[in-house]
Parts: sequence; C-alpha cells; structure tokens
Amino acid sequence: MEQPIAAAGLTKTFGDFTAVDGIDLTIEPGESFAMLGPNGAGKSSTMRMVSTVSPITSGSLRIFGMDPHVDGPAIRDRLGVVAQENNLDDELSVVENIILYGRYFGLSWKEARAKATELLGFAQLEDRADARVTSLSGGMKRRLAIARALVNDPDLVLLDEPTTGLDPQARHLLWQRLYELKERGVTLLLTTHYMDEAEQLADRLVVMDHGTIVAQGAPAELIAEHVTREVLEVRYPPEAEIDLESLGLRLESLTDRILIYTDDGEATMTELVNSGRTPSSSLVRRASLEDVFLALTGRRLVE
Amino acid sequence: MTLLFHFWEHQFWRLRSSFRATIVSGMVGPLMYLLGIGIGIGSQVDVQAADLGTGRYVDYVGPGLMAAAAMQLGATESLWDTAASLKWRGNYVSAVTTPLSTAQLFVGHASWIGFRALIGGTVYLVPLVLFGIPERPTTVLAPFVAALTATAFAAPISAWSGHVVSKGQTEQSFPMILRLVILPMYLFSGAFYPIEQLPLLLEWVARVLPVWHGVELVRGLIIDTDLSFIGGLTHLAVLVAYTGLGMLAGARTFTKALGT
Ligand SMILES: Nc1ncnc2c1ncn2[C@@H]1O[C@H](COP(=O)(O)OP(=O)(O)OP(=O)(O)O)[C@@H](O)[C@H]1O
Ligand SMILES: [Mg+2]
Repeated sequence: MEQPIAAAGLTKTFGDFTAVDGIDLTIEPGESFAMLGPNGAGKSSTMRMVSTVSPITSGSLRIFGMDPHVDGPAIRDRLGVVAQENNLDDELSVVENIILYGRYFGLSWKEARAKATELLGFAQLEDRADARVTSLSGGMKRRLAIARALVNDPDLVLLDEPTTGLDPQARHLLWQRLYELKERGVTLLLTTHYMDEAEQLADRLVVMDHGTIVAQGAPAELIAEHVTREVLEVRYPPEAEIDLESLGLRLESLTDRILIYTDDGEATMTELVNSGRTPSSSLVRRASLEDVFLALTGRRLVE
Repeated sequence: MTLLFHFWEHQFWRLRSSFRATIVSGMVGPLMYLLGIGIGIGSQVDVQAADLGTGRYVDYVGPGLMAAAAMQLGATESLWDTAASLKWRGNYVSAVTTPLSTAQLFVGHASWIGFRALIGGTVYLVPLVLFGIPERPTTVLAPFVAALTATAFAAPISAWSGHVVSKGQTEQSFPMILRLVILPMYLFSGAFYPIEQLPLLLEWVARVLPVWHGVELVRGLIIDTDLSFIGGLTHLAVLVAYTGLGMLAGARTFTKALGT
C-alpha cells in the first residue's frame, strides 16, 4: 500500500495566526500514530487538513500518494473520519446514522444495513439500533461516531480525541475497540491530551506544541531520550526551605510537588533522607510521556 | 450524480417523519390564503375595473400564491436551518467527510429545497382545482416553475448563510433578510396585483428580482393570460440565472464554511 500520510512543511494559518507551523509527518501502512499535545497545539487543524476538508496553507501533503486538493473524493473514499465533535445526525436513529452515511460510499441498502448491524455489534450498541441519537450517553455517541466512520472499511482512520470527556470505563472499552482495529492492520492517526492513551495505542507519536512538533518517536524512545527511567515525586510543607538544587539532580517544580528525574527512585530517596531533606510525602513511579512533555515545554499537558 | 441522489435520500430520511405534516400544511396554508385573500378580499375587488384579465380575483391571486409560497420556502429554509446544518447539526458536516464534495453538497442542498417546493406546488394544485381555477393543461408544469422559483431564492440566500458561517458572524442579518427583502418581495411580487400599479422605481425593482418572474410564469401556465412564449422563456431564464449564480457563490461559501 502507498504511504497513508506524507506531509512536509505542512502549515495552516488563520489570518495572521499560525495554527500548524511547518510540520513533517510520515505514517506507514498499518502503523498506529498519535499526536499528543495540549489545547490549541494544532492537532485538530492537522487532522482537518488530512481529512481533506480543510485546505492546506503551504507545504505539501499527500494522502495515499494523492493530493487532497485534487483528489479529495478519492481520498475520502478510503478514510474513516472521527472528528473532535461527533457530528451525529440527531434526526436519524442510531442504525440509520450508519446506513445513510454508508450510502455515500456506494453501498447498496442491503450492504449498508448488514454493515451497520456488524458495526453496531463492534461498538456494543446492538440493543440501541433503533434508539434516537439524543438518548445515547456520551460514550455511546462516541462509539457510534467511530462505528459510522468504519462503514467504508477505511484504510486510514482519523480519530480526533477519541476518548476526551469519557469516564474511565468507557475509555477502556474504546481503547479495546481501537486496539482491535490496529490488530486488523488498519492505519490509525489519533490525537490525544492523554499520555496513557498514546502509550496504549500508539506505535509512534509526535508531541505537538504551538503548531510545531517538539519531539517524535516511539513512546519508550521518547521517555528514554528526554527523561529518566523513574520519577520521584516529593512534597514538602509549604514553609520548608529545602535546597534540592545543590544535589545536582534534574528537577521540575510544580505548584504542589517537586519531580525529581532519576534512574533509581529508591536510591535518590535514600540520598534525600540521608542528607536531612526528608519529604513529608513521596512517590516513585515510572516516567511517562507527561514527563516528556513537561521536560520539553515546561508545561503540563492537561491543565 | 449518484452522490447527489444519496444526499437527497439522506435528507428525505431525516425529514420523513415530518413529511406528512409538510404535505398537510402545504394544503391547509394555501387554502387559508385562497379563502382569505382570494374570496374575502376578492369580494371587494372590481375585477373588470382593475383590469386583471381574469374572471374572478381568486383566479388572479391563486396561481400567483404558488410562486410566492415557493419563494418563502426557498428563503426561510436557507437561513437558520442552513446555518445550523453547516455548524452543529451532524448532517452537512459529516456528509463532506464522504466522497461528496462541498460543491455537490451545495447543489444537493439547493435542489432539495427546490424539490420540497415542487411537492408543495403539486399539493397546492388540489385547492386550485377545488376552486376551479386552472384553465390550461400546462398547469401540471407550474409546480416545476415553483421549484425553480424556490431555488432562485434558496441558492443565493444559502450562499449568504454559508458566508456568514465561514466568517463566524452572528445571524443578525437573517431576520433583516426576511423583513426587509422577502416580505416586501412578497407584497411586490405581482401575486396580488399587477406590478404596473407600483411606482416606477418599485416596478423595476420587482422586474429585476426573481419572484415576479416566477409569479408571471406560474400564472401564465395555469390560466389564460397574455404571456407570450418568448415572455415565458425570459421568465424561465431569469429564474435559472439566479439559481445558477447562487450555486456558483454557494459552492464557494459552503466550502469555506465547512473547511477552514
Ligand atoms: N477556524 C479557525 N479560525 C481561527 N483560528 C482557529 C480556527 N481553528 C482553529 N484555530 C486556532 O488554531 C489553534 C489550533 O487549534 P486546534 O483546534 O488545531 O488545536 P487542538 O490541538 O486541536 O486543540 P484542542 O486540544 O483544544 O482540541 C488554536 O489556537 C485555535 O484557536
Ligand atoms: Mg482539537
């Protein structure tokens, strides 16, 4: 298969504001790729360009080797698009949402109906087939939006914040579904605020901030490259004046705690205690992509 | 073309639960007008003196109302409803993630409104016949002209709605369009009296705008008037031109509204 996405210097401006600032991106067939970044990083703007709906301002973009400006319909024929908003049709029932959408891809009524039944099973919405969309919970609507996007058996599925706003149980159900897609060899491009989501689903990811890519690689690579293996989180009483700088450790001060980057959390903790800097509470954990983002930008992903 | 068909199918399916209500109101509404204006006001009109060229006032006003109603449908459907579909309703925003293009979407959008005017006009033939108004077999063509009158308004006004949405503007211009453009056009459409009765300036405004052409053509198809073949073609050409120009503009503004 052709490369699902190849972008070079991809840029999107709105007036004199640059939302996407010259990013390079290539995604290989079967790959599961995430864009991680805070609000306003330019994730959705990138997604909308890839979905061919939003024209690119400059740079180059090829989807399956085709130019979105010229071959929009042929590209969209092979895409599954789950936008940040569900954009479901409230005037239609659950199953009709999939059927009538499927018709645009040239499915006969019979095929569209069979496909809809299959996808409702996949999305665990069989018993809601004839319900009004407005009666669904947030998680159900999201699953329906994803099911609808799969009606044309897409080669590339775009998921803009698939699980934002869902409770943990609904998120895990969705992750499982997306994982199944990935196993089937579908190429996935997803955006997320959540590092655990990127770690769960992505083979490779880019960290975006202010319209640029600040880091890219596999989750484990990024952690190895930008932070240490473990993080020691310590808290001191607000009035305590503890000098950690002189220990020569890599630190990040947050409002309520201090993060210490170390390859051996326990050993560093012992060091703190031995030097009379015993914190009021402490926690050793594995470093995550959240730490990578913090290390790269000095800010947290989810405020 | 098949994509357009799927668009119509989608729109039909969304509205099918309210379609019967649409048809009933398509009957009852004009019937009220025919009774109220055609018969009620008609009783006060000296048709001979007014030189309307028809036997009864209701014969004059009845056909004209078909075109005027089509204009109203074309205009009202192109404002809030269209903006909502472009912004938060799932129908248009998700339709353009399929092979359907935004230009096709616009053509589908405007022609769907035209189709509804066609249904409305066809249903309206029933009260027209009940009142014994039609005189010509070409009456059956009148609903198609009503549809074209609707698109002559729907295309440009929907294009405007697309522009408003693409600029992120509020919809404050919408009530103004209805009050300051559509309502006067309704009154100056030639549906109720010949536009030659208007002051010269207004008469020319009426001639330039599409609704009068729809009214004259519909009337000429339903009853015997002095409308010539060439005159009829001219009316048709004006309606087609407004529709076509509106489609060109709308394809652009819908593209911007859905894809910034
Ligand atoms: N149509 C638009 N007109 C003007 N500015 C826009 C438009 N769309 C997006 N922006 C701006 O571009 C920037 C990037 O927006 P984008 O939606 O791509 O961010 P994002 O990474 O998806 O953020 P979020 O996590 O909040 O969804 C933001 O500052 C946003 O305000
Ligand atoms: Mg976004």
